[in-house]
Amino acid sequence: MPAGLVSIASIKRLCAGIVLSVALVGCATAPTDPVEREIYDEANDPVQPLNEAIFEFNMAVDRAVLRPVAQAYEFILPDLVRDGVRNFLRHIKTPVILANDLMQGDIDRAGETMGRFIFNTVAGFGGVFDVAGEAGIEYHQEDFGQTLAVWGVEEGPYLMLPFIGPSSGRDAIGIIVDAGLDPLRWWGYNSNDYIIEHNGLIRTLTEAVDTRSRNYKQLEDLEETSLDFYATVRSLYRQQRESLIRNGVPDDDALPNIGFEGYEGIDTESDGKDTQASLVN
Amino acid sequence: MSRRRFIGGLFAGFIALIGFAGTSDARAAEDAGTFIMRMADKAVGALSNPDLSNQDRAERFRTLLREGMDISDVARRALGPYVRRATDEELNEFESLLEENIVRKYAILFKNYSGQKVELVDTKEGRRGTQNVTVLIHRNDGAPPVNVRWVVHEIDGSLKVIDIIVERVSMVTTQKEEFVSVIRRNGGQIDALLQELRERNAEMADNVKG
Repeated sequence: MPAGLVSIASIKRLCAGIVLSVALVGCATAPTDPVEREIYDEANDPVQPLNEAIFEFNMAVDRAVLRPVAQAYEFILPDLVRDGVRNFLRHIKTPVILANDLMQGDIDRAGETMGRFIFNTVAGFGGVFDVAGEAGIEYHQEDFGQTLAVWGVEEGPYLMLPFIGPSSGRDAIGIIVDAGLDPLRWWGYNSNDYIIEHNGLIRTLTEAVDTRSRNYKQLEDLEETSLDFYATVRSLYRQQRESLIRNGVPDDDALPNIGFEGYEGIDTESDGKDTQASLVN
Repeated sequence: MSRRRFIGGLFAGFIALIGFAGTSDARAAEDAGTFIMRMADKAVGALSNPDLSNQDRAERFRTLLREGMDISDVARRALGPYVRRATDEELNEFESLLEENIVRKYAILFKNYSGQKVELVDTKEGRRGTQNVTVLIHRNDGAPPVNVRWVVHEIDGSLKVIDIIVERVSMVTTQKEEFVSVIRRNGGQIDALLQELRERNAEMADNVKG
């Protein structure tokens, strides 16, 4: 997810905040009990108290601003217009996606990205209609966080970023690099026109509203049925990033991502049947 | 935030269970594929009648769930490492609370089932004797199809579902992290999770009456 200039500033502030709070409160110390230790490591969330505070803040912002705006947006605009907005936002993200396709050495997907761009520019009225998608060349997302993962960089700790939402050490770096890769943002830096200058922020906000308007009911259902919304969001974020990194190709060797090791405890109890997998995914 | 698009997938997974009515593809020679289809046909027959009361729908769903899902296996994995701490009593109670929770959470959704078309993609060998049955659910509103993978294993001579993976999001993994977090916040007390589930189930049962 791209960040506007403001977002970069928030990240800087966040980093400062983390350093400060770690200095003041200290990281939650890793537990010594083996079961608790395993859970602590698996959660990979050393600044959880800070993350949770930011999560609360984001939820408050969502309730007060984003959700009402998204509802109004959905109510006022016909589907066709909203689809046009989304298509166009995706269209102008092409340079960043293409750069990441190439950095991952994925020539096929780079070709798809280029093909889509040309096709939709010409036949889709400058990217407002996704004619390429309808012809079978589907949109795909790429970002530098995924590229780092493909290069073998570890995920890093889970981070909840103000306004932006769930992230990780690796993905936070990705957001900053993607901003640097975006020619429209450089155009903005060098322009005096108000809209062009702030195009990064405007795009980010529009995308947030558009996305929110599309998953309004699902999020509400999830929040209502979840016993621990923070943990649920963290789990979904990780699984979805993992899927994006693998470009949606399922890891066929893997059972459902059980994630925890040391599963032998059960096997000995379940009449010795080896039906469980302990996998490191 | 587009990641959150997948969230609805968990629900779609259960919708998928009854979505097989329109499957025309006859490639389902594989055992696991046939099993999933048989269960789905049953579910459509039993649940998609809009005249059913919510209570009856829930009870029918429970019967199907017991027949088609290895709740005992799901429950053990959904406790994560805490499973090693759980007493037999706690495990048994967790199992029935989890079953109740799934029934309450999802049964109501079948009321609004609208006959999405489901296409069987393939059945592949998974790890440790599991079979992965992949389907695509084609939605009516023209949105892109949802990819749902059923992880099936054989126990005591019959096939049972042990996870549903919707757009690469695993139901068991998501539930596990949720449950583990609840226990952890309560100082490692498994009973705290059981209490939460009891309360939540009672709330949902109240809402569903009628």
